[in-house]
Amino acid sequence: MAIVTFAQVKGGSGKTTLAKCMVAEFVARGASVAALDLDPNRPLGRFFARVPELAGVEVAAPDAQRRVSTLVRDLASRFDNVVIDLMGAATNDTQVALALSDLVVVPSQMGEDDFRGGIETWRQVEEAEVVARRRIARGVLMVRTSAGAVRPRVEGFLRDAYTQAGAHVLTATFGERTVWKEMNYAGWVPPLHERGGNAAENFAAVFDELMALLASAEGAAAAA
Amino acid sequence: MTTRRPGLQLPALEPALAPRAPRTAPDDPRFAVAESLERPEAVREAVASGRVRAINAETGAGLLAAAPAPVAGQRHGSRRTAPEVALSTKVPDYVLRQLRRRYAESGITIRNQVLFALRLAGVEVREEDLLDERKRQRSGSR
Repeated sequence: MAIVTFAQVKGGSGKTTLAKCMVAEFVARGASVAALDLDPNRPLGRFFARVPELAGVEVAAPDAQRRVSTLVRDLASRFDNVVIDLMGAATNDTQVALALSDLVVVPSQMGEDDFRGGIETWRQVEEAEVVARRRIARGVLMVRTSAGAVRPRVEGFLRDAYTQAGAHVLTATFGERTVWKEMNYAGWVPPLHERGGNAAENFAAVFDELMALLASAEGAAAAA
Repeated sequence: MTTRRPGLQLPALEPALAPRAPRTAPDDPRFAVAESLERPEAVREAVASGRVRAINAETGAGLLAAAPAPVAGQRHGSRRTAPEVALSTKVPDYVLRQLRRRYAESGITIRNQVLFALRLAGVEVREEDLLDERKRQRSGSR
């Protein structure tokens, strides 16, 4: 099982696109998955409803009666994997979702605001780990990176900056591709409909690295 | 007799990843921790510390309803002996982490942890002013 949260206190970093791909990848691999949408605009449910393969994915959302902890407790008891998409701000839900997570992904574009938000989010995960008294696997994922072979200087600069601040940056990156924007209009999701294609391979590499990170954390926790 | 070599075939391998742990049990300790972070006083502490800068109206509606009415000076029905004033200061981050951890474990607010420590250091802090008004108001409203 895994409760996976996409968190970044800066908005527009790619959390929701990644959450959509994560759910699609779980479905493509035949895994049991549900989602919790903490963005009041409800992008996840709307997107899944238009993709036949994802229409059956259960997407929970909070209301006055059902709190985040209650919803996740319910989903986690019925599904092997739960994907949580947070709002792009430091909200009252952030700490709650982090404390519930097995794995936290912090997406970061290459702007300074994303870096500042990424570091703040990383610190919040560290605090959640202390409060929860258990290991929470986590990684910064560089997003909207160049699909070309040459990495821009700023990407290397930010990798170093994150590392110096104590954050772990994933080797895989989530490249800038038109298909990630088009999938919302076309209902064409590379992890489902174009496996083996460049975009699907790109996300599969991200997914595999995240699962390895999770397995490593679980192994370390079991050995402790 | 053919001289052609057969094609190469990979041997059967075990799955790369170890079998995953079972689903998260409803009584997993993480849910109690998460519930403690959803309490109104926890959210107010997080807002005061700057960790939370926006309230999700969907999940924070109850918090807003439970918030004490902002009145000048002493609140109606309060047993405190003096009006409350805001105090803002900076401390090393590891100190704040410890205070939050103790709050999560004991429910004693950061305000009260600070006041207890000050009293131990010889600063006058009256017993009535150590009362947790939020808890008193909440239990009184049930």
